[in-house]
Amino acid sequence: MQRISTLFRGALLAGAALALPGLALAASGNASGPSSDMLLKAADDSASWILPAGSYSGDRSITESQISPQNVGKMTKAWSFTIPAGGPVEASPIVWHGMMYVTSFKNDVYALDAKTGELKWQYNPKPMQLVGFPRNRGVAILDGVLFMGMANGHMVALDAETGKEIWNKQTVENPKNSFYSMQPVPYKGKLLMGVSNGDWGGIGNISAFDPKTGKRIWKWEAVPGPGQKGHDTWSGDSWKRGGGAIWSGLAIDPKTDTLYVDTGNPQPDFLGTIRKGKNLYTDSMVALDISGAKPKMKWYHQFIPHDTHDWDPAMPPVLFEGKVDGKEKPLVAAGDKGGNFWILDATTGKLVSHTPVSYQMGQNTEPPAVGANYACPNTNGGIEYNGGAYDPATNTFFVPSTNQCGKWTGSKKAVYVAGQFYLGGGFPSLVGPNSGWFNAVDVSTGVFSWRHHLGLPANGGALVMDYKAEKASAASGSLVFTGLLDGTFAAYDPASGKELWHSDMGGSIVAPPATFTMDGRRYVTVEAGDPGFLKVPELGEPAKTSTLTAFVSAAPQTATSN
Amino acid sequence: MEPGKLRKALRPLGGAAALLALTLLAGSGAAAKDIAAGAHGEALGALTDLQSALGELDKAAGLTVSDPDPYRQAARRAVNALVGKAGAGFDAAAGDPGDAAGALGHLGRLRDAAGDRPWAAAVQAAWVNAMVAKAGLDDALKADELEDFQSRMSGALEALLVAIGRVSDRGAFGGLRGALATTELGVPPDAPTLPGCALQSGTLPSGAPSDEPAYGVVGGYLTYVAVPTHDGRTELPEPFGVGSITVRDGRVVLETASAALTGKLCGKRQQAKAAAPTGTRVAAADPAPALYTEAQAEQGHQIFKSHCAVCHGEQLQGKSAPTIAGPDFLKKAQLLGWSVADLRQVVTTTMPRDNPGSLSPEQYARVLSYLLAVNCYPPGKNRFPTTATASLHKAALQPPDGVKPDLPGPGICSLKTAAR
Repeated sequence: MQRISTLFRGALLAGAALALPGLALAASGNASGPSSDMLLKAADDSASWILPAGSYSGDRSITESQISPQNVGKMTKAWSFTIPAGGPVEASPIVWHGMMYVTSFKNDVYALDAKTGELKWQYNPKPMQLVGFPRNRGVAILDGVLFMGMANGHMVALDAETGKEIWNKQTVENPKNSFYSMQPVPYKGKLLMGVSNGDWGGIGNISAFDPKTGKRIWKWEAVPGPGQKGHDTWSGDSWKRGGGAIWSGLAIDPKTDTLYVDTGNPQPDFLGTIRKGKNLYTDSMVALDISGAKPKMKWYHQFIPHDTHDWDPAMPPVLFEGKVDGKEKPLVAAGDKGGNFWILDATTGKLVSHTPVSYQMGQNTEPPAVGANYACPNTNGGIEYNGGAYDPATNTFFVPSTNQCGKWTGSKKAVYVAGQFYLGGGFPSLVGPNSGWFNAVDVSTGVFSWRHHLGLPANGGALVMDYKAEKASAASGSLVFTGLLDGTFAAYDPASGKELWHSDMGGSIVAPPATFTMDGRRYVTVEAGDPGFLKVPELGEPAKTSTLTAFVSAAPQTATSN
Repeated sequence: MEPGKLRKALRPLGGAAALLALTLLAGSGAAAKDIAAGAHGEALGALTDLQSALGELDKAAGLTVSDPDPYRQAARRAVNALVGKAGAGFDAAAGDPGDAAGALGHLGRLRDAAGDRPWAAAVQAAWVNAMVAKAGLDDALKADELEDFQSRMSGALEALLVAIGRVSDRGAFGGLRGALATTELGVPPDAPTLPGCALQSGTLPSGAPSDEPAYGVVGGYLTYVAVPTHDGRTELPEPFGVGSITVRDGRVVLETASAALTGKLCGKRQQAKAAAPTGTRVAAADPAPALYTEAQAEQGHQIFKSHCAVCHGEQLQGKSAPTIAGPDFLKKAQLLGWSVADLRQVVTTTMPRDNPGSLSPEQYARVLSYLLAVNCYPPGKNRFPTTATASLHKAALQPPDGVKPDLPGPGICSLKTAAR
């Protein structure tokens, strides 16, 4: 094991794909980036973290041979990198064989040596953003090229080794109401990307682009136009600015080429009277067959028909084989900002279970045009964009959630002004309680196995490690990691919720953890710093600097005992 | 800058005036001998080429494709219209919307002929701005990224607009249009002229021909045009500005902005040269409109401090809410195509964020006055309205010409500077 690791590292340091016998990963594809085939097998490549959630399933779950519940306490800090641009960091980094890529909220890309945290290169595009908020949720990697969607509605392709721009192209159709925040997803030679335009008067879409040129190959729009099925769920012309942005991550079943995607809330967000009807396909999960030239809808499941509170399903979908009624079946999980956790049958879209995970109140009201009313959660509450993780060993789903109520006011009409929110009201003001949960939901019943109440909102995602010792040993069991707003990065026992380990990161965690191995040791990364949208009075003064920290497992026993 | 809008504004007032069918203008006039031969034709040629270049950039600004080629081709055609067929940088392959001389060729010849004529400064300024536009386009052609291209191109576009000049409500222009509208440059070579001071006496000289316009010229300034009043259409040179229209002695008299100078020009001819007519100002071809009063801006400052500063910052530098003043803000507004009415719409319906619509219409008008002032828009006599009027819709939100921000932070104007 040791010898292979050393050889492997040598190959990487040389910066070229040396055809080492037996090293399939290094021998095929590009030296500095995985091929489409490797991405399909991302879950089996423990050395890398090459998709937003580690694999197309989005389950953020790995089988592990280093870190166990018994030795997690021996994990040490390997290095810490200060994000030069600061600000909120809201995504896992991408890691490919010794290199790590992380982005800032200003669309800077930092390439780090995954072993030392040393900055290798940085890309600082300084895009002029006409609309939206400054956020970026990471890069994609394919065949030695990084891809990022930017705040100005451009996509950019960078040489993964040097950071040099290969192409940079406006790929949103209207930069006056659209931008990018999502992490692109490469799939079978195409780049899948959703557009952020859901609160600014656009219509959401997910598109496939040619990674070589940035040319659009197909587009699926979240709001059906005249003549299309579902169009009659919009009154009058309201569909034209109907929303349904594609904000969050994706899950894909490569066996059937099925893409699972969640759509954002309808617009104007808080004024439902001018868009009577269910407003399909907003606030829905949609299963698209993407095997052909154009996507075909297999099914949809609308979580909140005619939403008037911006409660879109922000959580990236998670595809998994879970046990319900004693039977294994393909399931897909979703979570919305209204505080609902949903499990659907992945084949049919039928509801399997629904678990409210946040404090809910006044959900059947609409923000009034005169005066105000109260409803919970508010627009930053419930389940947010970092989602959760599934643990096959305990058949449990882990997801953080936020309790946060709002005071809501609508308006009599909504006027579209390019570059501005198209809300038909105001964002709600915070009225507390600004607390959170880390939830463990038993998939077989939809009931909590356990849940930790937190003093602050929570959006730190989750990462599951199922420890399987290489040799028979006493150590066994699983861990689930999450990051909290108070800066605690913690690991719990999935079965009991007992805390096994924690470390204070010195800043709020609003990004999910990622993991990879190098030289026979397991690394776990976490970003901390600015709380972004979860800034609440209870938090006090937010951290001034943002960091990416890598923890490393204790030296393997083979090194000392063999 | 919104070229489409601006060019609509540039449409000559004279066109409409010329359609007036009225009785004959009595009297006769002779072609002015002191007008530099061919200057009118050169000026019109330069104007046409500048407008062609602007038209290309206008089209490029409206493109939505991401392929860089159509943008570059448009920039090359604009360069061609500026430099002419013999000019450095002419690229025949791109196509040529201009004439053989190009704007710079025409303007160069005009400069040579200008001497101390009252239009010399205007021509010089137009030439300089055309050069600036060309340099900007050369730069834009080197841009790798569309955004860079567009920002450089918009610099060129602004220079072109300054070179061309613009009409105001009072018939005064800047740039080349200004010179054409208020000086002898606007007089076609064979057109009859009349004494430019005749208006002072209150009667028109007799003897103008019956079937064409006659031009009142004094000291190189064009003070009026007397239009015959027969039925049918009477053509005037395209860029013509009218300060006022009066009927005198049974004829239509179109007074130019220079008419305001007749007191000086005709009383003491020697001082006329020193007078700076509005038509020949170098910059401020597109002056920001005066949409509010100083008092409103001062009152608005107080409201801003109590209702807005907590999020936008005392110096408007942006805190939890974005910067809402300064060049970056204005640039963004320009790219979004905002009018002042759009800004008003956003402020009155979504601000303050915690209680939108909670201020009175006049309080909103005052805050908006303050925002215009810190963004270097000048105050005037008219109050900022409490409804979205046509003038607010017409006023583009964009970096105003001429005024330099004098406060730190995002780069904003003090109320005093805005009032200059």
